[in-house]
Amino acid sequence: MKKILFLFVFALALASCKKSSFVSKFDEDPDVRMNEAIAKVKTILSTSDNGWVATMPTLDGGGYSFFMRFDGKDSIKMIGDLNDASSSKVAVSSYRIKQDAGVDLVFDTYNYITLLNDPDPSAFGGNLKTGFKSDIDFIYDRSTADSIVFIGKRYHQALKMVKATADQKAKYEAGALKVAIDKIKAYFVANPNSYIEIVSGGTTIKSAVNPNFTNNVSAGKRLDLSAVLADGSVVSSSVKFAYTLNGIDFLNNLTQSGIVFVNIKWKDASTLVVYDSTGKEYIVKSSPTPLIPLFRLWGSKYAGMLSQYKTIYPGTSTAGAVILNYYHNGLVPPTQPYSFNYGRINFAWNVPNKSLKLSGFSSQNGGTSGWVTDIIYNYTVTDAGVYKFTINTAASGGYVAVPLSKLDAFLLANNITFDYYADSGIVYAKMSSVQDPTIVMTFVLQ
Amino acid sequence: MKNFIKLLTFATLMTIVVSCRKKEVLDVDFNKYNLDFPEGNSDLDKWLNTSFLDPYNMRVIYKFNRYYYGDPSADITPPKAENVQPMMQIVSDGYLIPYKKVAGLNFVQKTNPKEWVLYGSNKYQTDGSAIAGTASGGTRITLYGLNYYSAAPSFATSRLYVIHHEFTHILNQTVAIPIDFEAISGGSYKQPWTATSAATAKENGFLGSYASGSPTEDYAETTATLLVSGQSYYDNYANTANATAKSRLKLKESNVVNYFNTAFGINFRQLQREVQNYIKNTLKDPAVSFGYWLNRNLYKTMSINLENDVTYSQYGISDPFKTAYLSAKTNVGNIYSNASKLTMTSLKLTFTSATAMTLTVNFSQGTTNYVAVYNYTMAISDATGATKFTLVTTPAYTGNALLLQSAMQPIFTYLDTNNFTADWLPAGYVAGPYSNFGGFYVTGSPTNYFYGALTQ
Repeated sequence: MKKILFLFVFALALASCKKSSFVSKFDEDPDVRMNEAIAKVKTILSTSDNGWVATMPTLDGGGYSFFMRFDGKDSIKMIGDLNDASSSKVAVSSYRIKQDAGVDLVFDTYNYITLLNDPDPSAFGGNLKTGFKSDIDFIYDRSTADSIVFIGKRYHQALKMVKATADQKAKYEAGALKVAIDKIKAYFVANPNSYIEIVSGGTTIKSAVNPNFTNNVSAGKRLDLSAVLADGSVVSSSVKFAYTLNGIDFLNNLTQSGIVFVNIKWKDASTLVVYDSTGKEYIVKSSPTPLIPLFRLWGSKYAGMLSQYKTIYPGTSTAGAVILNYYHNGLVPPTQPYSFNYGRINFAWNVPNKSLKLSGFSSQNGGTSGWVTDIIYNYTVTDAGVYKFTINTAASGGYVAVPLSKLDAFLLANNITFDYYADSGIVYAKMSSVQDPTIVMTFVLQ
Repeated sequence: MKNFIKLLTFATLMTIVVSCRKKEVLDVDFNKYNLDFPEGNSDLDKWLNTSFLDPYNMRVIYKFNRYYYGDPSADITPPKAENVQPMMQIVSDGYLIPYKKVAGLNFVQKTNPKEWVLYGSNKYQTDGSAIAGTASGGTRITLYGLNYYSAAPSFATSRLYVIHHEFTHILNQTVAIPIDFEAISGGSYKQPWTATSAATAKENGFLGSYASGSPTEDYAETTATLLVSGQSYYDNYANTANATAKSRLKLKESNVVNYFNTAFGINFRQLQREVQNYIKNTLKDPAVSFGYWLNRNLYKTMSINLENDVTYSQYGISDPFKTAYLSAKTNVGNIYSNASKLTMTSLKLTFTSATAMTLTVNFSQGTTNYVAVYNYTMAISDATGATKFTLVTTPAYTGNALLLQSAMQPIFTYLDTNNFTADWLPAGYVAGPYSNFGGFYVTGSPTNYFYGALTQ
């Protein structure tokens, strides 16, 4: 037994004498390699003489584009597509490149890109505390001969930069981005019902192009394509976009009917074209009326309708005006016992429960405060959009059941359709009776 | 043999132990490793170095570094570079220089936090409220909200308030708060401070809800209010509280004054005067001026006795006023002779409202004291302190006022013909709160002035 023990101890002693030297997996020490990586990113950024065109989505908000010129030391000049000022006036701030979990590019004093990060809503309309959820420090990810990509440190959004040409640099610095933004905005204001035609399964569908040019966190700087398919269903896909000097770039894939759309460009002075990933063109066309029936947008795009105090909107027929005026003019005796000096009618859709709430508001102080009378209807609707209302909850609350009674009777007695009504560039909702086409009322869409 | 085996075993084991030690040096130079040198060589960086780093060993960090800000609940932005210098100028003029003047460079170098971190946006808390500044570990002060910089005095004073508040904490960490301070408020500290309304806090002798949370915050609020909001604000706050609260507030004030003196040898009244001079003269914040508080009728009387008040021999009085005063005194003495001789003893200005003042001439005949009273209208500008006195001559004077009317003409002329600016005079007075004395100088001629002891 002792011999075995000794043998074991000697074997251990021999084994413990074996030393293997440290061999680095890398050619250089980490300090040298980090130096090299930082120097590389610095060089890439500063040796693009004409600067960079950058795009970046935000986590909570839409997408944004920038023109950036790094001076190689610590100064950066920036243009951004955030607003009129940022798209036309070069702002100078500082940046630095440092070691972090990789090579870190920090926009370390305030510039346009910081507006997206600002936790104060008054800065650029972001959410309190988190802004648009967008970063000001980015970790280097990869680069090619003419591009470099960073990933936001906290919100992981990609900041993609492509080398700018001399022409682009001259244009950006001369304020051409604002001109380009204004032009494309003007196009969609003039053509509110723009669409492209997509061939899908042997049929051509019209897909509405709806850009949201605002900087609203939850909806702005996004574009959606919406189409009614042959079976009547609505398909919609949305993408975050950023402006370019010649249109807009989609910052991720916008797919519809299996086609991946990548950007919109001006083909000539007045023709806009959507391009797919294969380079195929889809001319943006304009429809005089919206492509998707209004009734399909209840509860999604539009929550309801409004008839403002003593306002009869264009498109309302004489018979329709009688019903609405019975409310507006009936807010004083003798229609009912009280005197109100303000009131309005609201419709609110509850599509999942197939119900509609009709609310009559009345006020004795010009609308600052008041009372609400509600009537709730159940409804059925055909594929063609013909509604039949039945009572769910009769008039309750408030004081204006009587002035509402003609509208209530109309809703219960008729089959009803909803459509758009456009007048002077404003689109209203039009409510019509199937049985008596002379009864038409128009409302503000909400 | 057994011993030999034992020895061999021991030697073997030692071999194992020693031979297991493997040493290989990985030659990494960590001086080169972290290459984050945010300081550049811009004019701003140079200015920060010469103004703060060189004299005070105080580093100003304005370029964003995620590792100075660890709060995951809210983002923060770096400042706009153009706001850094104006902000730090406020720090220098409203905080560092006053301390340096009163307590000395050595004190500032020793106690001033070494890292000052600046951010552009506010720091938001989970409840959405915003923080303007914090102090940590006695070594770092963080100032938020530089992007809201404006030349309006309110921006500078709000930041100075935070700085003086935070620096008080640092002083308190060096020399503890006097133990009698906490007892002043009789155990009415309560957390969370947000549950205490401003009105309740005032009733209990606190400067606000925040001060009611703990003695340390109470101390910092008392100091910052006296230094930045000013003595008049403090007094007015105390005067409008109940009697117990007022007495507590005054006790806290004297506690702070004594603390600065005994713990650090700092004349708090001089420090207060320096900070207030910056706010009044450079920032031009009317809310700390004598005229502003006269307009709010905080100060009720001003007594002038050139011959018996040592303040005048110590701090002087302008010749034009002295001449008018002594001429009037001579004139009064000449009204009667011998045993009936009248002697003008002092003057008193009573500010009966924001628009009215009465001039009382105190005089005596033998051992009997008399007064002659003259009414003035008064107009004071909040913004500039410009003051105009106008003697009211109707109805015609009677009694003592009529008797002294001619004799007092030099004073009437002085008050009536000059356009004055209200100010805290004499400028060098630091024996007590600067608001113990107030006065008026002829606008455009600061060497022509008069002043007197104030009461509230």
